[in-house]
Amino acid sequence: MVSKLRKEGVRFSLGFVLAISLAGLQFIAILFVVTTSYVSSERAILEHARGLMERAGANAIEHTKRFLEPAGETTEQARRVLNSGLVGVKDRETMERYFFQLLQTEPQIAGINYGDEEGNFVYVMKSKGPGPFRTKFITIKNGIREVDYIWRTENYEVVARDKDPLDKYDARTRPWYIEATALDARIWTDPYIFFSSRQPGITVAAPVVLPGKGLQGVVGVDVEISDISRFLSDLRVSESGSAMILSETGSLLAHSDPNQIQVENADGSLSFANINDVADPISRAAFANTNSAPAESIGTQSNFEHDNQEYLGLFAPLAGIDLPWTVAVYAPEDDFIGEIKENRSRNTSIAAVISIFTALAGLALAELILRPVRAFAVRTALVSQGEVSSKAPLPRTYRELSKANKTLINEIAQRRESEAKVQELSRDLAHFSRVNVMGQMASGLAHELSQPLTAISQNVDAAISTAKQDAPANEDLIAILNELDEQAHQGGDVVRALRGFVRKDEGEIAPFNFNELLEQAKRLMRHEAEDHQVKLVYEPAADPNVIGNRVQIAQVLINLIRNALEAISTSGSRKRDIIVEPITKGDKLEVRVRDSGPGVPEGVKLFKQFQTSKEDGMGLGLSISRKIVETNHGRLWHDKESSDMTTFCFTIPRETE
Amino acid sequence: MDSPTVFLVDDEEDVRSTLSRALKKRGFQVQSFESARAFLDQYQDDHGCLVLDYGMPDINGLELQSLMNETKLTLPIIFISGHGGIPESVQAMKAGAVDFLEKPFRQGDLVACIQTAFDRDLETREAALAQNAAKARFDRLTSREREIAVFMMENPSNTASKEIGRALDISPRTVDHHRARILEKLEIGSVIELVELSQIVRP
Repeated sequence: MVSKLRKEGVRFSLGFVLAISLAGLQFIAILFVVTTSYVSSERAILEHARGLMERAGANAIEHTKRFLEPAGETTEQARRVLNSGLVGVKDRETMERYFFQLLQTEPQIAGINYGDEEGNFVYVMKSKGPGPFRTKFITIKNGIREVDYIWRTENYEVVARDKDPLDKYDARTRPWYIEATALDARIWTDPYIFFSSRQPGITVAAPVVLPGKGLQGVVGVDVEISDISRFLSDLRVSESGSAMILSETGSLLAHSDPNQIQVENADGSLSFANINDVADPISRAAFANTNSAPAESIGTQSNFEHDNQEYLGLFAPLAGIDLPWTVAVYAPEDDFIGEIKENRSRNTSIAAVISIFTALAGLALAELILRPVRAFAVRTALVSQGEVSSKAPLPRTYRELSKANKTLINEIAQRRESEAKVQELSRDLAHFSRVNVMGQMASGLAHELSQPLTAISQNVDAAISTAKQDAPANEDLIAILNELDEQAHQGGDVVRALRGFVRKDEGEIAPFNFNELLEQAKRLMRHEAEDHQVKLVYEPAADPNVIGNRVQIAQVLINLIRNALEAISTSGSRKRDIIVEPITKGDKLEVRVRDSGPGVPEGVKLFKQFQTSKEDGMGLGLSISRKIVETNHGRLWHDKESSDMTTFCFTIPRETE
Repeated sequence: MDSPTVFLVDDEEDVRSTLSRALKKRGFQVQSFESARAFLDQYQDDHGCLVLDYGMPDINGLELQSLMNETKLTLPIIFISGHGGIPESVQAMKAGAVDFLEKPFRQGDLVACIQTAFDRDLETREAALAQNAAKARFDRLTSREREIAVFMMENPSNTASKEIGRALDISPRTVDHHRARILEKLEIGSVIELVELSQIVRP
């Protein structure tokens, strides 16, 4: 179709082009604006988001450090106090009280303990009840092990006491104890789930070495790191972003969602969830993206995709503390740019809607623009087909078109006019030539007939002379010969009348006697009138001298009489009269040809139809008749006022002195 | 003078023969010619009239008429025509034709025309004869007599001998003498007759 149109050199419709280009341009423009603003704001916002995440990561690190540092300091302080002997390693009451005070000052510390080489153990920890604090004593006395619990209020008042003979706890077997004594330095244990509180935590442990006496025991501070998770969940990286802390081995130490951290082992004990087993798939994905290798450097960006969503990820080592932990922060991109994404898609749909509207508007506009154009085209076509006059009012259209139209219409009108003129002329020419040929033939005929008629007439005369010489004269013969002479002269009269019509003085306007013409017309039409049983009445003119082209006027007269004859004979009316009456009217002779025919039917444009009614007619059409009369300075019209008879009139200038 | 002749010129054989026969039957003397050329060759300024067909090849009727006018042939012409154009008839009549008849004409009309033509021809010829006679008489005058005669002819109201003498610078007596001689030679009785005679000589 397109190639066909191309081949024919036809462009697409104006409406289509307009609609498509308007809509297309608008769509592209809006899309461009939307996209550029989206891209730039996306970049800015993602930059900002990264900043936010870094800050969140740093916050997490800072918080974690602040959270853990007091524990380290407390441990250090306790060790020093014990080392210095300010609190004796055997003075368990003082030690309990000291631990109690430390516990109260540092809220994140869950408990402080001291275990010695003999197996004695003092442990002050926060408790859920019956008192807020609980002290656990393990006393080894002569190989007998005794476990006592004391619950106290904030004011160190005893709330309850208890014993637990079944307790098997031995600090010396705990990893922190073993490690601290082995390294002879303060150590951080790997995180683990606290035995008593069932909360995740780590223990800072330091060996207590008395000068000269060697290793006495190990002081340990438990820190519950579930508080870090709480902090992380409060950190709010973004709408649905998360932060987490991972250990060296991939254990999940802290998470925005604290429930993610612990898993219950098959034997009912609790342990940390490994990042690879964690329930939250996003966290898993985030970690998977780091290739299981916690980043060394600060602030490793790691973006990943999960469930068709882009995520921003950040991994940072926990710097400043000698713990090999990694802080991970991640958030879905959409938390930051979701709105502008949404905005973009909204804008895109708005653009699409606007484009559709624009296309519709374009179509409507094109329709609006095209309507006058189309009307114009239709009109032009109609004008060129001649169904509408070029003078008919122009439909409302554009000035440019109007101008073009003028030229076009003029062109068409001229062409039609000249076509009509050519047609008319050729018809006239055909007619005139026919009339002319007839005229010439009639002229020749008249001449040819005149010779034998002359000879007959002369012979008759000679015969009469001869007959008269006889004695007695043969009267019968003379009568016959006289009749013969008369008949020859009748023939001569016809020839003369015919000759009168076709005299060679055509084209000259000269004075002539209209009555003579009338007489000749009468003679020529007599036979035709008799054929149609029509009574022809001629009134002679009172002032018969007129000026004009005799032959042409004769043709007009004959034509009018013929039309009348024909009208009467085709109608079959009972009254069959034709009256020709010339009336003097000022300097004109008005010739009225009236007939008793049915008249001119309504709606027939007499002078517009150029046809003669008969192919073989010598008569001319009314239009030609009118033209002939006009060239002879007269007028020809259909007199509608005339009441009883159909009347055609024409005028000829009279010859005036 | 001879009896008048009807000269007939028509290229149509039928017309020529029937017309000449009919006219002869009516007692006319007829000579017919088939062309203008033939007529001109034979015609000797005879008395009569010319019945001339208008439409002929070579020299047509009108042309023959003008040729005859040029050569002072005064034979009256009656045109007969099978064409019958008004302009031609007008031209013919202006050039002195007796009539212009359209064929077929009534014999009565033609005969009437012929009679008119004969009369006209007769008059013309008589006038010509009278003129010739007058001329001959004038030729008898001496130059002085001619001078006086001419003066009198030109001044018919001033024919007193005194006036003539003063005008021609001669004595009235001499004028009287000459006048008597003039009247005698011209065979007239009065000066009035002299004026009439002058009109014959110079029509």
